[in-house]
Amino acid sequence: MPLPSKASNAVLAKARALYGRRLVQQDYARLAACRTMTELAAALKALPLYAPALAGVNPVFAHRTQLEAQLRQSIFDRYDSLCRFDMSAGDSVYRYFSLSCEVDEIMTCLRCIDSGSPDEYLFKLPDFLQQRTVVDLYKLAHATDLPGLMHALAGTPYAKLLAPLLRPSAETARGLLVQAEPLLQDYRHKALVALAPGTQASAYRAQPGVRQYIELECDVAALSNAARLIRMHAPVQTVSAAARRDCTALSAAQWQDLLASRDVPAFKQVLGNTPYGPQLAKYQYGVLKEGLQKYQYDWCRKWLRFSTDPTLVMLCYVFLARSEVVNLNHIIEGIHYAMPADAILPLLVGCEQTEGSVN
Amino acid sequence: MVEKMKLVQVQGTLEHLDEFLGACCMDGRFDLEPATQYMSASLGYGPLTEENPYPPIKQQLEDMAKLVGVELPQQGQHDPALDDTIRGYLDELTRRFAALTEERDSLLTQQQLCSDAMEQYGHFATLKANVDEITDCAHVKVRFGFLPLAGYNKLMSSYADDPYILFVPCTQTKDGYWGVYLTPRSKAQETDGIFSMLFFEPLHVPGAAGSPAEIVEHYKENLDVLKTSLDDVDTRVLGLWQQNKAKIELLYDTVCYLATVFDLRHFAAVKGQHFFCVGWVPSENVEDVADRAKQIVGIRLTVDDPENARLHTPPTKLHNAWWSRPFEFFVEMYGLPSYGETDITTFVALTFTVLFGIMFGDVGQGLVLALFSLVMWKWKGNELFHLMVPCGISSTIFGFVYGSVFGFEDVLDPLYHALGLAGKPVSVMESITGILMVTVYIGVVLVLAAMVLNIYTAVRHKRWGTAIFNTNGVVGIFTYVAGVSLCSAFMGGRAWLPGTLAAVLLVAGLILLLMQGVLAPMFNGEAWRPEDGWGNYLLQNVFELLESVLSYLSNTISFLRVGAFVIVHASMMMVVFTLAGTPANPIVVAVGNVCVIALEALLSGIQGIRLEFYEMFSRCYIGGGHKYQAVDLTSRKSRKAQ
Repeated sequence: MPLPSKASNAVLAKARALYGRRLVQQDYARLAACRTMTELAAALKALPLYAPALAGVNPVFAHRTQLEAQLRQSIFDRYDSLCRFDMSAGDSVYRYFSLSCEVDEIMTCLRCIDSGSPDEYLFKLPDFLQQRTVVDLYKLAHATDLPGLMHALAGTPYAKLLAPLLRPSAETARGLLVQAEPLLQDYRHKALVALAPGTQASAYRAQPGVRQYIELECDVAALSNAARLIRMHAPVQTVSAAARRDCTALSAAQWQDLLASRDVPAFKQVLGNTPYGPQLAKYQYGVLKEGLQKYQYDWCRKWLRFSTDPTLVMLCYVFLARSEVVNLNHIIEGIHYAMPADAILPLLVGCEQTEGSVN
Repeated sequence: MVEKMKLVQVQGTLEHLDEFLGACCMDGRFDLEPATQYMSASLGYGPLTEENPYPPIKQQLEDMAKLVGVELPQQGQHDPALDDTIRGYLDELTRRFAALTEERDSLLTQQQLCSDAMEQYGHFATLKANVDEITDCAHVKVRFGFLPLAGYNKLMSSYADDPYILFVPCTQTKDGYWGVYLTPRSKAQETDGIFSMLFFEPLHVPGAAGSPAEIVEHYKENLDVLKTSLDDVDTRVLGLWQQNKAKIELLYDTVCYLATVFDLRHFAAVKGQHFFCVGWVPSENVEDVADRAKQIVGIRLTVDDPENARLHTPPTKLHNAWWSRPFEFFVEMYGLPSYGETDITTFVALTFTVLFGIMFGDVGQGLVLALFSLVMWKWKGNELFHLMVPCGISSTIFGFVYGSVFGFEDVLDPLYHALGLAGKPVSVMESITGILMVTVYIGVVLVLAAMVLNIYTAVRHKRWGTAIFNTNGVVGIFTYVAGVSLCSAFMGGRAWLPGTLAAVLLVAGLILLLMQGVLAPMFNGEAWRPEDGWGNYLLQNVFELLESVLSYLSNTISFLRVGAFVIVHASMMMVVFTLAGTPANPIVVAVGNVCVIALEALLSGIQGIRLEFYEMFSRCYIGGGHKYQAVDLTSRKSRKAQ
């Protein structure tokens, strides 16, 4: 093993140490029991993992979006620190994280433009990202229409990516986001797949590697999307086009059977015959996406602990940390809408009393 | 040693209960027990359940003292009673103190308000405008507050040119800006919304005239005035205290005494107008206590031996020589000896001191440790420092053996030459194997000493079977000695016994130890046949025997740590001198010595305790006693009822 790869092993300890500071069921229960944003902000500030990120927040004036932004920053800071440890793939993974954030920001901006309130984006943009992305977010905040957006994106890869939007089409009436989202998601998907090493390298490994993680991530997105479109009675061609299958753990035949399903029960039945079927059978869930997320959570938790691949451990941690922040966002939203704790807690992933097991 | 106790039972009429408690139970010689536990419930006696009226008065007096900033001493003097005159005096005094407290609190509140306002206006000190003028503007709305850095960046990127928004940053922190924003009143709602989205935290500053800098100055002047007023109140409080000091202290003593007596009443069992008290008194004090009690009208007192207490065991009161008394701390930490068990404080004092000295042998460092511990003990009164004094002296003595003074290994050579020696008796780094061997032999001797102590305790209690056949009894000693002799010979060391004799003793000893569960009760004349049959007995005892043999081995080898720490100490000093260079940098040597003293004292102390508790106590000591706790208002050592 070359020296840089050995040095990357430090990320194993770092990621596991960070995971050791995760929130547990009691923490979630305590947070969900808060009744006001002030109470919640004070409780979040008391958590060791989030205290530095929320240091500047005054609980008395704490605002929902402020808390969400600070939590997002905390997770990005953790990407940052982990990528510095991983000398083998840290740079490319970090670039992917940045790209993913850029895609999210552009989509948020487009959503604001579509809703007729382009000014709102200014208040939503995460200031900490300004120094870390190729997109000038403050310029983006000044965009009020598509030409303004393209002007803000000039000189970035997104200008070329979104150039087709400037051509008039039938989709124009449906809004900019509807047109841009497939392009942006596809761009993000390709960046993710580019991180996956070739199948030859990992075909006979006893432990899963980065490719298996990315296959799972892509499959979760593709299967959830396909199930959603089938539920909406979308044509087979649409479902097939929406399901990205260039990096998957399923065979072409399995995908063919899945995409040929007429309704969700049939889809689930076919899915039961794939490697995901027995795993999903262990969970209780309403929509397929929820079950897949639970499985992915347990998969990441398992390989964070047992894998010796630094990049995989880092990616697993990032997924788990992202899930934790999503859970906190659910709590923030729940408290904002005065939901009782009993209604919030079932929405959270990974806060069950007993851990799930995956193969 | 554990002091002998007598069970004392007292009966009398209820009106004399307080008199008895005051005369016999307040000087640390009578450990009262709940009397109802010593008598049958059918007799109809029950405990007193009155509420103690004295703690609130005590609290009143303590509050007064707290206001003055002094602690009330307990001098052991008291008035016989708390009559109406004294109560009236106390009420009047409380009223006067309360009035002063109220005045002081009011001033403190004003002081806090001024400090808060000063801090708030301090954020805007650079603002060159009068606060009253800008807040009174008819067409402009003003808001003071804090804008986070992200919010400021967004404001500057999008609203810098907005003619309706003016943000004036006054002071900057790493998280953002304290400042003021101004906006036309007609646009106030919209601007407030924008600043709210930028997470602006408004600050409600108290109304004041002038610029922020002038306001801060004004508050400073106010604070000075308030401070003078506070000093005046404090002087009046102190004056009032000084006028009444003697009376208050006597009153406090009286209240403490009465409260304690009242608390002790709960130990008595009462039926009608009769009370019954029971407790333990050290044998040497029984006569004096009895004489005092008999002087009280209607008191009947009986004295019994502990054996007559049936289910109740006497408390343990240790009585040791002055030099070993500090080591009672370790014995209490492990568990006090039960009444009748051998007190091993003296044994601990000797062995711990020697082991510590061996591990931490250095003349200079030992003296420093002893002096430092002495000063700290006198100053803080902590028993741990007390016991470190002999340990420091022991380190000094062993320092002479190793010839080390603050790590300087050759300083004492002239002394050795003057004594006719070729050099230092033990050169640590040149005799590592020898040191390790010696420490193992020290371990053998200490393990044997622990076994002898166990035999002594068993013989005192006439448990002859245990004394002979136990793992730590006579058979245990022979087996252990034979084993050590064989191991020593096998490893090329000195054989203590002829090989054949050692082998015979070992085998015979192991067989006897295997059968100890039968032989010991047989010897004591008790039922000896195994309850679960011979098969079960043998199976269980084979494993117990194996565990015993392993414990002999592990307990002995464990003493290697003593030798290891001798080497560690020498090695650490070598590191210090390597860092100090040549010629040695005195600062590095001094700092290194301080670090080594702190680290080594801690390590040697911990290892010493470990050896005592695991290697020795486990062989000769049980420690299931409960502490003798008698109320002692005279020396204030033990306060059971407070």
